[in-house]
Amino acid sequence: MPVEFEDDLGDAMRRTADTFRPDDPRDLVDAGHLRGRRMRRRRTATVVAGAAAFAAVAVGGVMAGGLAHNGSNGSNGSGVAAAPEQPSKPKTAAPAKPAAPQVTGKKVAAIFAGLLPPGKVKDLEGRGPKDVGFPFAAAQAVFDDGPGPALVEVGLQPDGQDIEGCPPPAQNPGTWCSITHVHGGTLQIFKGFEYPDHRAETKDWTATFVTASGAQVQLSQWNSSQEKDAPITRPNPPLDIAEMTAMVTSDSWKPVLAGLSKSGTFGKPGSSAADSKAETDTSKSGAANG
Amino acid sequence: MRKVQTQAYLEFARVRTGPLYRSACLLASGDTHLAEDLVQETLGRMYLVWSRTSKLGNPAAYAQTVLVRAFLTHQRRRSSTERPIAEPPDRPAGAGSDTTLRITLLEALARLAPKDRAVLVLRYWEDRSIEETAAAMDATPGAIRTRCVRALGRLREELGGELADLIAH
Repeated sequence: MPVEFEDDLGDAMRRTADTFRPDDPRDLVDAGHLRGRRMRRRRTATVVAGAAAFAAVAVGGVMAGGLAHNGSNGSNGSGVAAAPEQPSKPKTAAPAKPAAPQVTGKKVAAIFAGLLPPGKVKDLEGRGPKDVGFPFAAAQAVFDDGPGPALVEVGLQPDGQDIEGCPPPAQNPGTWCSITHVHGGTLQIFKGFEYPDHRAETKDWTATFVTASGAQVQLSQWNSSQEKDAPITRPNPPLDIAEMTAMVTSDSWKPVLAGLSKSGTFGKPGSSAADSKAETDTSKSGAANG
Repeated sequence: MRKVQTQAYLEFARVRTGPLYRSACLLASGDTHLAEDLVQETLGRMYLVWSRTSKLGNPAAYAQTVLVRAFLTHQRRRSSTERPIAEPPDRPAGAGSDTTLRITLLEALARLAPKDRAVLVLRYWEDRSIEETAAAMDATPGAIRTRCVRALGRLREELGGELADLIAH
């Protein structure tokens, strides 16, 4: 096969693919996210149903004793739930080859820890784009300033979503919300609950800061050492409004955000031509909040 | 899913939707409805495994592989419901010669077997090696090499020198 034909085919595929643009990429993201949540619900239901059916069969077997041969060849299998479908991990090992300066998880964690008020910091973790393969950075720790350990985490991304406003208090009793314009950006503080139905008194306080260029820094903290399924350890999360504000608007995040916004080549499966367009997508103007 | 993981997932999906959609359009030989469905399926499956993202290595490469597998699964389940759409897109596609190129290429790809098409898309659009293509398609490198040669031969028969002429314009 002449090499020229293969080269031509690659060119033709690139030029053809370049003519395709989703009508509304955000719709596609939302639909994919929704599908994922439904898959997870189905999987959970399947696992629960399977466990229940297995338990029923086990109990039935014990109770019924010799009934196992009762008109059944045992092949109907109705008590066995289908195994949840799960994509096996591909064996592909195409390494990411990011060209932009990397923000490491270690650096993100160090900045995060440096911004916390005095107290004990435990289980400190950080992730940067080098770790996750696309422009995103995060850090978390279990922080204790005296009353008890609490999970605190922060996430940064170059293109945040619009802050749409505070939810009506009537629909969210016991919550508190404010939106202010500070440091050239928009800041939302929301004091809510991990479980909207209050089945546990775990509080979830969040500060979301969207910068003038559209980047987002979001802080979340709980009055528990875990987000879910853990007892509360203190009456409230540790950081007050002033500390939350200082954390998300800190200039210390600037180099991290700059590294993320320059990360046009992040998220590439390798040197793939398929991703030559990723730069275009990633470098989309972050004018969400003008 | 932890809040920060959801945030990361949504950012990942935003960045990767365009490249995934373009790959999907080639795999679906221009059927944009199928392409959208494949992208949604891929993003849905990525959501399912997202909490293990640190173990996925390179989530972008993983997503491309999930996309190809979703396409092949779709083809197995609904063997011939694909609707090749080779007409010009709704919006301007750029240079006029690219419209002819697009129609010609997509029609030729549509006449290939789905696995042949997947191999060519992985090799010549995504620039995957034989080994990477084999891993993505759960096949041996030898089988992929054979399939690739055969698919290229068929495509060459279909297109002849037309492709070079269209590229030159």
